[in-house]
Amino acid sequence: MTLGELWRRVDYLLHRSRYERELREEMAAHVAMKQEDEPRFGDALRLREDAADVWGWRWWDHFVQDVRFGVRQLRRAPVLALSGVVTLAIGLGVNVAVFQIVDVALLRPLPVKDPDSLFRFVRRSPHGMTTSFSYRSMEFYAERTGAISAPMGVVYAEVTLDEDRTRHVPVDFVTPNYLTEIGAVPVLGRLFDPTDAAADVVVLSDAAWRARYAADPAIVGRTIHVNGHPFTVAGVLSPKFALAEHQVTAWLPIGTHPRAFPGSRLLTDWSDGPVTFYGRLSRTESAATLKDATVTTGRALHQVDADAALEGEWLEPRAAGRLAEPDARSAAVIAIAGTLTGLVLLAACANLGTLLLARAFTREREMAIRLSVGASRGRLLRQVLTESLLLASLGAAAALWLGSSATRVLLSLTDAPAVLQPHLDWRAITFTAVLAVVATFAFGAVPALHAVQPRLRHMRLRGLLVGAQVATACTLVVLAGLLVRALDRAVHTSLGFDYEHQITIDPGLRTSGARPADAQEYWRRLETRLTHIPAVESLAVATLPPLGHRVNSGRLPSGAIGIYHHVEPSYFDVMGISLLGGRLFDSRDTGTAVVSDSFAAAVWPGENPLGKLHQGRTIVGVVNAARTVLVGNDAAVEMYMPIDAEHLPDGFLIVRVRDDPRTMLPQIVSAARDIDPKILPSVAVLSDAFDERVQIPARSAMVAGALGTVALLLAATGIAGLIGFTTSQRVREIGVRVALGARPRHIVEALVAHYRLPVAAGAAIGFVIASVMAFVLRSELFGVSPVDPVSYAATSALLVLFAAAASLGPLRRALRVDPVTVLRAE
Amino acid sequence: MPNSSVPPGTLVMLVLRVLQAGPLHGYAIAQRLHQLSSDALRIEEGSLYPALQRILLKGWARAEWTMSETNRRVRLYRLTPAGRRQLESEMADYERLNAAIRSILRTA
Repeated sequence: MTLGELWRRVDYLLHRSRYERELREEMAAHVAMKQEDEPRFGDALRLREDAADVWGWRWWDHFVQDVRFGVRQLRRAPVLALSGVVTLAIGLGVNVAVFQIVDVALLRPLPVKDPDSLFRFVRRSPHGMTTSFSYRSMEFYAERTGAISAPMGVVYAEVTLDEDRTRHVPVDFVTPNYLTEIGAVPVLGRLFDPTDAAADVVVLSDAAWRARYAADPAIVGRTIHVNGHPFTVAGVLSPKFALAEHQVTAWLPIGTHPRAFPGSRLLTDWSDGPVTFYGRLSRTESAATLKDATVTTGRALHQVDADAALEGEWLEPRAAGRLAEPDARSAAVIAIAGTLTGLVLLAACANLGTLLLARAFTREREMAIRLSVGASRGRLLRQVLTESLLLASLGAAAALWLGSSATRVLLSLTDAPAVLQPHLDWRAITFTAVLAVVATFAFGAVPALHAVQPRLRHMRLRGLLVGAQVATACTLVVLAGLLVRALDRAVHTSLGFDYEHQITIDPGLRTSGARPADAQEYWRRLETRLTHIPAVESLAVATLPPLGHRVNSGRLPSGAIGIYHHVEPSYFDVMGISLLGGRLFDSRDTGTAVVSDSFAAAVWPGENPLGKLHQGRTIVGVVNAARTVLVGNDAAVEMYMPIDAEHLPDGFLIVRVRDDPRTMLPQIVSAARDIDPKILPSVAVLSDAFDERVQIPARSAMVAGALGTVALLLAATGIAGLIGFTTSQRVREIGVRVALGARPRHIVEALVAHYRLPVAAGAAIGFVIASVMAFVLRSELFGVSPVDPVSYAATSALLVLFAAAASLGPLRRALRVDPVTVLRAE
Repeated sequence: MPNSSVPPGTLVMLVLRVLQAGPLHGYAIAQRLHQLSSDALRIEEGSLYPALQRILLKGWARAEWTMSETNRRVRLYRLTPAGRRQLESEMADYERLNAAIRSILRTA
């Protein structure tokens, strides 16, 4: 077909009435000119239609006719149409939501310049890996590694702004090239330039400018106080920018860190620093070539300062242009989420299939008439599929709305940056459209099959529909059950320690540049001060905050995860962890350690751990198993070592109080602030951290529970619908049976017999899928077994209950069948 | 009664051929074909109009409304350059086919 011809075809469709009118007039003229002796002009309508067919739009006419007819059909059965649209909106909507979340988190690059060449570097060695650099070692690498262009350093910190000395806000200390390099633009003022490396200037986020400074247009040049030190506002950053996974209030030049944190040795220290190292790599660079390029630099760095680099260290690039790296873990999460939502869609299709099957049965006569007056089976099939497609389109439109709303709600529950808000773009719409078409063929196959093969009884098809719905419902309900049990265990069973009566104080001494001796002095003064508060029972300095995000771990040969604490001897008392055997260490101990009984069981199964050596320390005591850090993972086992001077700057203080910790908070805050005016510790109630930590299983349980309920309702109504359908189909047979003396039991038996196998098979399949997924999710299950019998038994009971309740109506109708009426109707 | 319908596939060529002499309307085309074939061919409206629509679709002729000599509004079909080329190639094809058929009929 040439382009001109295509154009003329389209022109025909657009100006159809004119073309038709011209043809009509032309034919009329022809008729008028005909002579008496010529054969009569044929049937004008038929001739016009045949001539117009040349333009090739007949399929379109049929489609329009089918759509019109479909709309009428839907209007005639509004309840069916509505329940179909709602069912599909849910089935498709959950998939839209997952797609949007995956899109935001993984597929869509962050709004930065050239995201694909942006990398974050981590230090790797044969013995381990660390993600942070000291500022000097970052510079050392940056100067000597030609492959890395635009090296950038970012240090996250929490500071006070202006007079508000009680609340801490997040900021980034950055190398001056950072903001411009990632493509950020100012809405006011300017960004940093190279001369700002140590200038006391600050760039505010758009949100902070609006919220804290009332969007003051004259903000540029004003002085604000960061940790009490004056900074001049250089500019305000456009909100259309984000690299970090956290939202930051302001950016400051990295060189000002010592002024915001007096005593900070960030710029001079070689050993472990808090710098995140970003840079750009050309497309040809890979992890392997970067390793070759940096391994000698790492050796040189190690020689400059033994603490600056790990032994045999090299740099490894991680893609930074996206929120999460598409690694095995995120792939697993996507696979699970996709499977769950795919199952819901399957359940929705199966449910709709049962609805439409019953309807197809009532329309058998209509179809027979159409066939007998000359409609081809193909045309009939197309018409039935068009009706399904119409339903799917309405469902898809509703799903886009439902899914986007759900995504927005879900993202608002997390602290995702505002730029990552999902919007309905063509990708989401295409995804939904494709899914809707797939769904159309899935649920539309039922009435389509029925239309062309009305004599087939489709017993197997019905079994399949029931089986699919039951399998889906079982999978989702079992998972929801497991998560609820996990949540229950998290809340009600002991984690092995107490979190109701503690307050944590984190002064961030390392950030402020405290040396071990300074830290020792600080802790001594703070502890003395706090012990004078009557309600304070005990306190301890430790390195890993309970329920916090700091982890110091190593994998043990048995596969368990060893968590290594450095704590003051009073830690066990403060945390409510009790001694089971041996003794606790005291403040003079150095080469000793205490392990939990689960740690002992993981390292020395069946042996007495007392006196054993681990990491060069003698085990002197065994305490009860506590999971203070990786609370959800029962593979985490803990070991405690006496804290030495070297670890004191990393410490934070846990205070055990007699009263409600919340009422104690102001007293503790002011006491902590009085010790050193330069240091502004963040103080928190431990039970808040716990509440936050159980949010993950709580939300997962909520989502799985909602999906499970939907699937269960779909399955129940689907089964009920099918039994009702079977009843109406077999009403005569039932009448005969009753007339011949069948008891109600027999009637019910005859009606449900066909569904027993599909229900059992569906449940079995659902259980298998659920246990596989639960196995993948086990680290979030708080020790609940992936094959936890309670969840599976409860699901089975729930399913039977729902199905029975839903089938009650149709079965009662079957039992009320009056043989006389039925047999007369024969 | 002898068969008076046009061999399949040749109607478009015949229409293009009569239009070569100048623009004509539908009825005139049918008349002309009837006369030129010495009354041997009769063009049914049922095949003439689909053929004309096809010619329009392919862009081989353009249609315009004028008044006829009998003062009637008629739709004239005027051959386009593409139509001329199409006619030539169809005629050449037809000649070749005809010659082949004839040679078979003569010698077989």
